[in-house]
Amino acid sequence: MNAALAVIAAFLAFALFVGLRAKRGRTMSLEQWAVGGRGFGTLLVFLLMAGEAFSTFTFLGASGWAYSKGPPAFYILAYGAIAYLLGYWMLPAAWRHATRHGCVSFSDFFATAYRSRALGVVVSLVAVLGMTALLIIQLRGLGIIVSEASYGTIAPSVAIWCGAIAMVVYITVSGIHGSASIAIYKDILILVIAVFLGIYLPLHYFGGFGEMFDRIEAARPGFLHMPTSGLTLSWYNSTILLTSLGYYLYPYVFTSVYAARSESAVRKNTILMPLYQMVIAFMFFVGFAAILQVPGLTGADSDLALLRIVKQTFSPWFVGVIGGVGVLTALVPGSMILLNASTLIAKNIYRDGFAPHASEAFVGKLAKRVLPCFGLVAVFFVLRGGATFVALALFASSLLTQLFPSFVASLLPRPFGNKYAAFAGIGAGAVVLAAAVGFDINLHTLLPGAPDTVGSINMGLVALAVNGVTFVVVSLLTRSHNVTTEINLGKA
Amino acid sequence: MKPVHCLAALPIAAFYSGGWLAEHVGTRLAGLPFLMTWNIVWLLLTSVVMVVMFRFDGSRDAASASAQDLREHDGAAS
Repeated sequence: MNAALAVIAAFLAFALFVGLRAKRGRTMSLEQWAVGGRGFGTLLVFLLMAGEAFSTFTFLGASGWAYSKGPPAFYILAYGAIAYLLGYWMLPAAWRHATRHGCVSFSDFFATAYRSRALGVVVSLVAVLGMTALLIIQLRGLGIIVSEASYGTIAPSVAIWCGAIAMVVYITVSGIHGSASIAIYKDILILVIAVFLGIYLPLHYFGGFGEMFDRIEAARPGFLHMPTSGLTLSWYNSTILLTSLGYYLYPYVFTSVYAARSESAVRKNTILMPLYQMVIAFMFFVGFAAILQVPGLTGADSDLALLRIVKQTFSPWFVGVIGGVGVLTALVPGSMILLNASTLIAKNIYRDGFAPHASEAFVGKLAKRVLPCFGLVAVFFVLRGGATFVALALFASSLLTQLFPSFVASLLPRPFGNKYAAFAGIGAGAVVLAAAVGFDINLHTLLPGAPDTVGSINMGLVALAVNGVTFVVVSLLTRSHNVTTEINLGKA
Repeated sequence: MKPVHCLAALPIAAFYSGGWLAEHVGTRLAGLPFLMTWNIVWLLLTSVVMVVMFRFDGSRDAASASAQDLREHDGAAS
C-alpha cells in the first residue's frame, strides 16, 4: 500500500520542482506571468491547451460516462473535433485582436472588442465565479484520485490541501511557464497511460475489443444503443453543438491563445488537437471494460470506474503511478484557473471597476496576492460544501458559453454588433438558463405535445439561440452605435 | 473563405449524421459500437482536412507574422 503513497508523493514533489524551475531567471511582468510574453511556439501552445482540455473530468468522467451511459458519451469525441475546426478560423482572429490590443485576461478581449469597460467587468465577474466552480471540480477530482489510489491512506482533504498549496506556490513564482512545463510531462504521461490501459484491459479481461462489446451486449441488451428517452439522439446532437461552440470560452483555455508567438502557431495547434483527442477513445475502452469487471457503481460513483478496475488489476506501485498522473491532470488546469482568476480580479474587476489609474506593476503584484486567497476560497468550498454558492458558480460556468455570439460577432471580417447587443444577448441567455436550472424548465415542459426529438434538446442550446437572436435584433435596432474596429479575418 | 475551405463541411456533416447512421445502418462497426468507430475515424480525418486546408489556403506562408511584428506595425499596445 505504501508503494502507491510514495509514488504519488514523488509525482507531486516532481511537479512542484518542475513548476518552480520554469521561472529560469525571467523577470515576471504581468504579461510575462500571465501570457508568457506571447512567446510560445506551436508545440508549447499545443501542450498547454491539451493539458487544460484533459482535466480530471476527462480522467474520471470520460471512463465514467462510458461505464454508466454508453453511446451518449461519444459526444465527447465529436464536439472537440468540431470545436477545433471552428478554431481554425476563430483562434487566429482572436490571437490577432488580443495581440494588437495587448490583452492579458479573458475579459480584456470583450472590453476592447466592444470598447466597454462595463462589459469587461461583467464578463470578469461571470468568469471568476465560473472558474471557482471549475477549480472546485478539479480539486474534488484530485481528492478522489489520490484517496482511491493511495488505498484510503491519504484523506481527500489532505490531498486537496497539498495539491492546492503546490499549485499556488509554483504559479505565483513562475506564472504560465510553470503550468506549461508541467503540461509537457502530464500530456505525455496521460497519453501513454490511456493507450496502455485502453488496450491492455480489454485484451486482458476479454481477449479482444469485439469480444468485450459482445459480452457487454449479451449482459446488458440495448446498452450499446442510443437511449430513446433522456440522453437521446437529439440530446447528443444538440450537446455536440453547444459544447463545441463554448469550447474556447473557458477563460483559461482562451488566454492560452494569447501566449502563442504567431498566428500559425495557433492554427497548427487546432490541427494537432483532434489527434490528441484520441486519448478519450482509450479512456472509453477502460470504462467499457469496467462495466463487467467492477459492476455496481452508480450515480457519482461511476466516476470511480477507472480507478477501481486499475486497483483490481495492477499492483500498488502502478496504481500509484495512475494516481500521480491523476494529480498532474488536476494541477495543470487548476493552476491555469488560479492564474486567470487572479489576473481578472486584479486587472478587470479592481482596476477597471474601481481604480483606473493603478499601474501595471501594481496590478501584477495585486494579482499575485489575490491568487492564494482565491485558492483558499475554492478549497473552503470543496471541503465545507456551501451548496448554494457551488450551484451559483456552476451556473456561472454554464453562462460562459453564452458569450459565444458576442465573441464570434467581434471576429467577423466586418465586425457586427455593439455593447448594447452584447449585454442584451448575454442577459437573455442567462434568463433562459436560469429558468431551465432554477425551475427545471425544458422543452418537454414548455411544449408538452412535442415529440421526444424536440423535447430532449439541450436547454443550453435553446438559451444560446435566444441569446443569438437577441444579439442580432438589438444590434440592428442600435445600428448607429455599431463598433467598427480594425479586427478582421485577414486572408483566411 | 477559399474553395479549399469547403472541405470543413465534411467532418461537420459526418459527426451530425453519425448518430442517425448508428440507429439505421448498424450498431457495430469493426467490432466497436458503430458511433464510436465512426467518431474515431472522423476525428482523424478532421486533422487531415485541416492539414489540407493549411497547405492550400496560403496560411502556411502568410501567417508567420509574430506577435512582436504585429504590435510594432500597429504601434498599438493598449
